[in-house]
Amino acid sequence: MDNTLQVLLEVTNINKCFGPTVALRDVGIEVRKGEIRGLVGENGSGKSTLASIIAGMQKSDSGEMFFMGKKWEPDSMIGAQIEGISMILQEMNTISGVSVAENLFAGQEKKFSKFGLISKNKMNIAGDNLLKSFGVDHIKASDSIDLYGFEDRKLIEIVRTVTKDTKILVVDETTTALTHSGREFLYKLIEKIANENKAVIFISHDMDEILKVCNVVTVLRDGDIIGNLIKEEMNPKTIRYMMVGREIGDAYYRTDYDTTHDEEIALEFKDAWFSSVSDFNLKLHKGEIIGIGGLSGSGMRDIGRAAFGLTTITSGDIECKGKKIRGCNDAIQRGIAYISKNRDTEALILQGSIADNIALPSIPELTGPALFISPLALRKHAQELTDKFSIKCGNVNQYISTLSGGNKQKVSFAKWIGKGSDIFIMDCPTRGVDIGVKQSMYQLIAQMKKEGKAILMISEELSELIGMCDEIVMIKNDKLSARVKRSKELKEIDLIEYMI
Amino acid sequence: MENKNINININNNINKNISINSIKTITMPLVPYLGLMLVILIFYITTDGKLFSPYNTRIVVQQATALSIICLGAVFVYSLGELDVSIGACVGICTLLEINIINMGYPLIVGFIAALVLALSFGLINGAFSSWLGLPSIITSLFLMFVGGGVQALITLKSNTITTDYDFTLWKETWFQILMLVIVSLIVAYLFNYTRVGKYTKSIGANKVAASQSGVNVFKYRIIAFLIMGFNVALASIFILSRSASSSKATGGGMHMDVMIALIVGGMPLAGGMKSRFTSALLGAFIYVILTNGLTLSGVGITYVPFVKSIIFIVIVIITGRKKGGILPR
Amino acid sequence: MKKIISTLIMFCMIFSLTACSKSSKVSSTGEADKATLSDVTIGIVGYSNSGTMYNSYVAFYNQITKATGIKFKFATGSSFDESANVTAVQNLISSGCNGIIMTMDSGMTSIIEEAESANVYVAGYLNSMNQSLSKIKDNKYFLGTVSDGYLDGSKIGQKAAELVIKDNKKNVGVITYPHNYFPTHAQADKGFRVAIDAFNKTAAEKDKITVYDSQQLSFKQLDPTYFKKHPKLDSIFGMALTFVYPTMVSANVQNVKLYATAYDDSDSYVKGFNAGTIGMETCSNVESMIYPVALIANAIKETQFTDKPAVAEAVETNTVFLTNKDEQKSFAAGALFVSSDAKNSLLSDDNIRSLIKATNKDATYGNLVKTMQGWSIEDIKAKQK
Repeated sequence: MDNTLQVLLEVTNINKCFGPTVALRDVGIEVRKGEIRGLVGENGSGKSTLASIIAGMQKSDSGEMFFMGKKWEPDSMIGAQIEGISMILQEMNTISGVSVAENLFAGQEKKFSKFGLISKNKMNIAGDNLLKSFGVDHIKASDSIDLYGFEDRKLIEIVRTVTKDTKILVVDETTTALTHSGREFLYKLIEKIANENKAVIFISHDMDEILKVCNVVTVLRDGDIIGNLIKEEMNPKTIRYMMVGREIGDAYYRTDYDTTHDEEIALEFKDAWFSSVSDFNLKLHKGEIIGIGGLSGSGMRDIGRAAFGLTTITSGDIECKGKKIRGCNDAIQRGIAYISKNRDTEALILQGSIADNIALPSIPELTGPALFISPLALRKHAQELTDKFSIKCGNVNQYISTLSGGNKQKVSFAKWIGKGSDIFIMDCPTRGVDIGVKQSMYQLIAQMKKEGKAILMISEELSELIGMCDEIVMIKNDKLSARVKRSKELKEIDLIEYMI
Repeated sequence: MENKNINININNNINKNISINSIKTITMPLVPYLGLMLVILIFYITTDGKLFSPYNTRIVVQQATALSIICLGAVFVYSLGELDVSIGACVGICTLLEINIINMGYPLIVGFIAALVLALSFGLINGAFSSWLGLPSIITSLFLMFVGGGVQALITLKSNTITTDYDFTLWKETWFQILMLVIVSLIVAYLFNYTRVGKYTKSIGANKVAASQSGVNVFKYRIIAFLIMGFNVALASIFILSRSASSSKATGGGMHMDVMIALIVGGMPLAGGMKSRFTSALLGAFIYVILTNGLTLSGVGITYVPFVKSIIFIVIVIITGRKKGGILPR
Repeated sequence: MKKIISTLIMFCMIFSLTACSKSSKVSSTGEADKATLSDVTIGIVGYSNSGTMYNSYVAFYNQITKATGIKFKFATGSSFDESANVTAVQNLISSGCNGIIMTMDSGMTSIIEEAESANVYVAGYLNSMNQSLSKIKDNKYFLGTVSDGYLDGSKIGQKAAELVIKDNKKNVGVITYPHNYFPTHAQADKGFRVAIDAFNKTAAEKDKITVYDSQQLSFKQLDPTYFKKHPKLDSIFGMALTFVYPTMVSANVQNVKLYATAYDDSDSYVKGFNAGTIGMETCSNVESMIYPVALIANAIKETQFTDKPAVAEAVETNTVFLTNKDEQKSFAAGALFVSSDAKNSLLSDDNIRSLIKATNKDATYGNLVKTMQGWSIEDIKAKQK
């Protein structure tokens, strides 16, 4: 096979800076027919920047691109789409207030107009046909798009973006917001495109997904291309190594299979009913890690909120160390810590400094006589924790908004460890966190178990639950659907049926 | 080797951004101090030094004392990100209570206690009722403003103004006013910066949800903030009463606006939060009073004064306002 | 960057405004022919810094400055907010005034205390100070006050009664401001009824005049239903000109004649006189400001009238009655109050100097009061030429 004939897109010597920050440094890739090329890297590695330059969303500072043998200089995303490279984004990109058909054919109304009047009927028929050709049966072109939820609107957007002219489809982190069925739809579409001798550039943070979907992978780090791997070479360890730049080591998740824990019950749900969850029973012991898994929206989030006193219990009890929990402050007093999934809006005060955030729960402990809180003591407390958790910062009085996602998450952990909490409820603890930090967090959690702390880990990442928990509780449709014990043989597939 | 260099470059950039931010964090709070110095300097020149004549110093301190004391209390409420428009009505009724009580022959302390009870009730209504009813405190304070104003008008219906012969000389002495100001400032500074009261109210103002999830009893500390302000209002009302030895239906009217303008000019963010500083109360009140005083002394036509004041207000808001969004490109 | 620029702009503005307005209208601009009293600076605290009244103050005090060298400043106060008045007085004193003229009776006790501590003299104008007079009259820094027209309102009531009787009106309504704020109105009301009763005693049955119960307006316009309630109404003794007349106009009331106090020179009131719907207006003369000015100037120069009473008093000045359209016209053309033209001043520069003891060692208190109380519509008519 002559390689050059197969090359759809060739990109060389691309440079891009945003002010003093270098996003891409002398980057070049090739995309061939039939490739599903994964583009992976940490936050700030440049993968989104590269994809957006290819798809016409922004221009590079220097470098050249060749598409189908000709110079490729798209001036807009629409222009790029017409020529054959389309991109789907993570955010919502459909227009509210109009119909599905009007969204599908946005910008192409002329095709359906005679003497200046647009035939809605014709547009709707064309729309339905188009949706059917993608295998989407449950959406009607004549409906207002507001009738459909986020995922369906994403599907509509995908249908709109992938035209018969599309030669390269760029998928930028779209899957994080989709449910299982949405993702399956997208995977099938990607496969179909590849089989038609076109290509897909696929960006995702999910290692399992990358391994499953892509047949070739390009790894970026800090604006440089580190390397390309073909299917046979793709394995998590190597990819992680290339992403982070150092040996992650074999130990990513917990390596031990010791599920022993104390007798003492730290947290107990007794026939508890709260928000949409009914009749929930669970016992969490000291020194135990229990994971809660399921689809987002299945009710697992509320389990954590209820245990922390954020949601009212309509029936039954939630007890902490034997006594009923009466609200958030009570929970904290008893030693429960809650690390919310919404890091920036619920878990941290962005306006504040690192010290402000780390010390906040511990203020009662830091208070001396006459309500006096010594600024020195506070700073010392914050500094100790910052050092203990290796939080990368200039000094503890820096704004917390200057930290990366991973370091912010470390602050969330540190503030509760600093208070001396011994029951941790964590919701998606490693979301948006870079691999290096992720690893250190897993080590920390393993250490916490050894120290006798009780951990309730709510997560959408099955591999995380499998790697870390003594027991995994699966939630489906607001009810407990399965309890699975930690074992070497446990695989994701085993759990998926309990989710859907 | 390459990787190391690349990493260092990027770290340098990040550090540069961080140091720019450190400079910003240091200079921003200085703006109101600069403002005060500039105002004093300019008016010193334009009034040919009359700004610092003994007489003028005395009246500036007298005019600023009550306002400063209320602002010092209001710092807690404003750091929550809330406002209180019932301050004016509260001052009015406090002075009415006090004057009636001392006219009946009781000592001033009794009057003060009565006023304190009233002011604390206002604080409770604004702090607690608003939580229980699930309303923003501005609604309760508007309600109190109307009710209070109505009560004021009713009581003074028969006799335009109630006057008293009580000897207020102590309260008009400059040294006494400064002493009270210093004491109140020290207490407020302590509570705001060195105890959990200030830290909690600032956290609530910055992010109520995160604060409550970190162990702050939002309900309790909102009430505490309003109660502290109530105390200061009651105390300030004695100073206000002492100036005119009378109380009418207009007493205190508009005070809440003066407080708001003074605090903002002093650098208090309207949305409260971590950037709130108690010094904005003192700086703002003095800038505000010196502004009016200096403008009149310099012979600025009386019609121009409100106009100039509003320009200054807008400019200071622009200067101390922060842009939404992050500091580093992410 | 933009923040630095906006700060600079702001401070430039303040600076230029203050620098430019040093020579504003607020301070008097008249040059002194005789600079003997130039160390006297009097601050006037008035209701408003615009309008007919304000302009007349300015016109008169400019004339005083020309005649004597006395300087003037102006600040606005409030009839309800005492601390605003105290602040205004303090700022005036701080800007160099050694005399204060107060036109509202609010916060007076504190103001006198303040004046005492600053060695500043205070006198009243256009106000009988009846609420605070008893408390401040013994203080040597309060020199006295002149009211707006007659002190005793019953004289006004009598005059109105005269006109009502003369015009053969039979059914009169009485409308005033709230009596407790305006005791003069209460007096006028009573005086009016007393005069009408006296007439009725000697009048024939068919000629008797009915006076309806008084209506007190709380600074709101008269409600048009008043006319429905009194269908036989043919006249009103209304002590609130600008709150009664507009209602009459808008309700198109034709056959009622209004005998009012206060004065307004705008078109619809002039038309009212011409058409005969307004039968009386009153005004006092702005020149009566000479009373507080003289007292203050004398006190500062330590040449006070020898015949001034030991305790401060409230004196009255003449109330000018306008009873027909000719008098109204003359007043409009000839009164300093309306025209703000120094030509119309009832006092010449020499007159002014002669009334103040500091410039005329023979000046007396008695003469000052007599002059003030002697002005009548005839004098104003004379000024028309």
